[in-house]
Amino acid sequence: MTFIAVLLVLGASGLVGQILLLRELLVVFSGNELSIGIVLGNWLVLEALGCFLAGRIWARSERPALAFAVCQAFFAAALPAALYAARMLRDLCGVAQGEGFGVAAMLVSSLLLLACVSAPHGALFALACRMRLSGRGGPGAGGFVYGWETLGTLAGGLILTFLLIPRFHSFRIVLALSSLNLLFCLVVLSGAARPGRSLGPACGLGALAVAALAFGPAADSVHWRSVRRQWTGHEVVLYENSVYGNVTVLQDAGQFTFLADGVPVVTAPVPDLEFVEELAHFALLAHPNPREVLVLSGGAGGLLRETLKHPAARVDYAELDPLLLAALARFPTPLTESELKDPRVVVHEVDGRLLVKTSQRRYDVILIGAPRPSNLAVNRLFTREFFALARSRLKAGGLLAFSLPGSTAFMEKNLARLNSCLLQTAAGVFGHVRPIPGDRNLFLASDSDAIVRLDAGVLARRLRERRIRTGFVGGEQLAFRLEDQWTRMLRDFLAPVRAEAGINRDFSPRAVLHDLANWNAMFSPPAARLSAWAEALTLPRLAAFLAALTLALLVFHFRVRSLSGAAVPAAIAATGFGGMVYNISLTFAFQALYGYVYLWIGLLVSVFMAGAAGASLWVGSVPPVTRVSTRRAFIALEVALVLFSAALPMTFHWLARSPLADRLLQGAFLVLCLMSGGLTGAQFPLACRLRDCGPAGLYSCDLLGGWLGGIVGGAVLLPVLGLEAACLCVALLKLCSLALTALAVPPEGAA
Amino acid sequence: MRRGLLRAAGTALLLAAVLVSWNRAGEKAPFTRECMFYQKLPEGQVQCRICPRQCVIAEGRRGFCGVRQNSGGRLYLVTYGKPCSVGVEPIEKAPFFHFHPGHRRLVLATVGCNLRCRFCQNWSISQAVFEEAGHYELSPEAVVELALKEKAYSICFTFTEPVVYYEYMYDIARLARRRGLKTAVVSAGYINPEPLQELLKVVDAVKIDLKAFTEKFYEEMAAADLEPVLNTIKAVKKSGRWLEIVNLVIPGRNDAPRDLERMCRWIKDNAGPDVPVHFTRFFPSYRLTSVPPTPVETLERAYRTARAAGLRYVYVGNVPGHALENTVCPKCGKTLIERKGFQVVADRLKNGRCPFCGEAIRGLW
Repeated sequence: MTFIAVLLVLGASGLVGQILLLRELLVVFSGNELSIGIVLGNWLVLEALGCFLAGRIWARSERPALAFAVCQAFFAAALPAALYAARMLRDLCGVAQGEGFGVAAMLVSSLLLLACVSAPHGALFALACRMRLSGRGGPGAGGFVYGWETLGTLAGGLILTFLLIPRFHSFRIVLALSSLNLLFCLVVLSGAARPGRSLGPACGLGALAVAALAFGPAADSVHWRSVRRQWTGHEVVLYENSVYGNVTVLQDAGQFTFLADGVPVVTAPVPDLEFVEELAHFALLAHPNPREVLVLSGGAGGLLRETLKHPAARVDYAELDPLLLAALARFPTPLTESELKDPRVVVHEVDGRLLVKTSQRRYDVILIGAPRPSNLAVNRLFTREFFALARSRLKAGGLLAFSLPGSTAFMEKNLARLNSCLLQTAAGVFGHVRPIPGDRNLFLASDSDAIVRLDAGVLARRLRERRIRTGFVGGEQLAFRLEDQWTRMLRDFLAPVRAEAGINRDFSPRAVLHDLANWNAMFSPPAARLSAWAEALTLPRLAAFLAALTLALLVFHFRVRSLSGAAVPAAIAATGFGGMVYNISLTFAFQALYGYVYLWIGLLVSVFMAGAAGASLWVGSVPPVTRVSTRRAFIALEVALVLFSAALPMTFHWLARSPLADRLLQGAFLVLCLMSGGLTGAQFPLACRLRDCGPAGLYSCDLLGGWLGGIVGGAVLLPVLGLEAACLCVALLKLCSLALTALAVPPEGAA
Repeated sequence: MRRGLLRAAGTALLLAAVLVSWNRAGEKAPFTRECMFYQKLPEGQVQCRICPRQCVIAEGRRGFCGVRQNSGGRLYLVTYGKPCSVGVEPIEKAPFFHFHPGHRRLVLATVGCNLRCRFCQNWSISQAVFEEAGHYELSPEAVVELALKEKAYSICFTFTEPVVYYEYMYDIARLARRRGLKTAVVSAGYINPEPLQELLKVVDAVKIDLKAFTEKFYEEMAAADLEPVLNTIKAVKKSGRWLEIVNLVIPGRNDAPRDLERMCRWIKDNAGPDVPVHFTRFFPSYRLTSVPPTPVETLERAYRTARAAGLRYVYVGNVPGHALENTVCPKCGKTLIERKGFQVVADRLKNGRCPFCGEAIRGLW
């Protein structure tokens, strides 16, 4: 029982440390999809490295418990230090305050920062396996440790997300976790045959001391000191995490700036007038009588105020993160107060897409306030499927408006692709799309051709008739923005990239790809070239490459040197890759189809991990019969993974078009998560038996595969090829590993 | 309204003619203009003398700006006749507030820059590789013709740093002057004295972007030095060309009251009290993604500092609708030019004088 508790703490500690550091780094890296992939990827790589090295170093150790306790104590000490260093990262890397990081800087800095935490955590897995082996283990030790550690991960994730994050800041959580780990050092040492003499009392005292820090005022002091260092030059009045992300509020000379994951999203009392006035007034003036308006994200801080200057009787405003709305209420300004307390404004603390999907209300104008599709979650407001949904919620003559970064000087190639992609996407859904080019391009989409016929005279007349007072948008500005020279300039920028821009779909988020490429061009031109290369990727090319690679490996195996020892680890790496791609795909598809429901996302991931843990423990507990039967079971699982991967795209399509009730379909997603988790988790104990050696190396392969799945799957396959093709890639990859396993792993004898 | 429509239609027709000459990225064209300020060095190297960097450039290589290339032991301007950006805009967008307010200017830029500002609003062209960006084919004669046909009052070299396409700018300015067009330069002022003196002979107005008043800021945020910029301001003032100064106020970076006060006093002492100074609001841009926008109160404080230092024409920018965007008579305090965003909505000046008290208002009207 004690050992199981140790494993549960091990799993929970890894996940809590990973998530908290990821959140901190996201704030520093002004989080986008790529930074998430890089941080998670680095964590997995380092964990794999720690596991591999520990497996090597302590392979024959007679005192694995002592080594385990030392590693755990190191992990406990390193975690709070890493958290503090994460907030100091700009200073440590010589990056200016407020400046973003390039890809290379993100990669290297997060690698160094995480090394002292994730590597020892990986080592703990290898040592736990060794402890199990030296106890009453055997070939099932790996599966046993893997299973319980995964369950610990699951528990840690749930507790952190729903209990700890809403109540405590990161330092308090991390210090409490360190204290718990030091306590378990004691537990491990007390159970050891020959405990270290001095380490036990030290761990005990350390646990007490850290606990005192965690639950006393010192944690607050350290927390605020590090936050102030992170935002040198600004007064931080709020720094809190919600389940959706970090919200920080800076106060300076009477101005409040509200940041989400380190990026300013609301500035009050004086917002970016050019942005809010142009989006609101061009859209609302384009409609002869906008009575009912829907604002999706980014409404507070100017957009609502400008909207309310029109004859709107009701303005529905959807904002995902309740913490942001709470922060706006806690630090009120005349602007935000007047907006959010206006009786015509109905605030919905919900994902905008979910609101559009579930509400039957119809609108004259729908405004998308999100500035750009910078990640997969936001992209769901810019896809063909969403545009179709929004179109169905518009009254006759209604219009949808959104804006994107543009330029009247010159448009960077990837920015042009982003604009072209969304212009084509909207044009494929609506009868008419009217781009209004500028430093921010506005797009009005409607089935009514009135938006095409609009001229500055009509807009100026409506502005006068509605007696709207503005700071920026006036008669001449309206005429200037509608001048033909800008339309021609935009056409000129977009024409060369039209073919490669593509359509932005739920299951093929091209806009995210273009936005990431634009971000790379800004921060890291070499990475931009890499992403251009990645864009050339197609499923047939990938299939040809994998087929050629498999063939070459098989030729090498039969003609040069046996690869029987490498086939199983390769299969486990491919499964780790697949597991990560399944996870991302299922979460992403669920988000796209049913809206951003954080509890559901947590549930999906939990069910996936429960499936993995359950299958691993179950398969590990079945006594091995013969190597032949183990091999047969392993290959059967390989076949199952190929079929599952190939079937997943069809399942997604069926789910997207199914007439069944949402609840049933959501249940189907849970089943899919359980299946994918089960299939990936079940392979590990079989692989341990088949390899007949320590599980550390296999675990490293699993993590490396997961790392590749996170980075390549999340940042390349999904945006470039789309959801269906990403799953088919996994099918192809597993087909290759199946061929390799079936042909290279002998039925008899040690591998 | 009718006039506006006619103007728009005219713009469309003329720019359409320009845009058909748009070259896609990667298309190569021969160099057409040798650089004016450089020195030949042994072994085929050359030293560019256009800006304080004074790049020593080996055969086949380009300078820091990325657009001045050593080809056969001679220095050429790669972007000559190849602007990446051409349009027609209000002069207030520069911002120039005392240089023929309300007129429309032909704006022009090529890729390249001799600074590396981490907050550049036009990074996509200033930091671009020439061959990777598209461009128009537009000789200096064609630029001037376009401006005349468009009825632009001036040609404005802006968006990126005009110093790096000096020869192109210089030739256009000379031609423009002959055809009665005004020319204006929007620059960071990072240029050597000799080319500056030559340039000042052919242009009418210069707006200097004084990014901060500390060497540290210039080094860390722009990879440049402050001193040459200050020398440029002094030289422009001395030349008699119209000068305006812009300072983009970035919270926590260059907004220290003491530095702003020193800067304002220096401007008054070296450029005179009548030089218009614009304090503009920063919004997250390029690499500075996590810096909050400048509080309006900070800009107003900078305004008060400048007025207290003795500067007579001080403006707050990038805050549309703010009263400090208007031109006010420094003597009687009456509003003379009212602005809304980039538009002039009322101009009450009479022959360059305040109609209320008769005070002469400095500028080119």
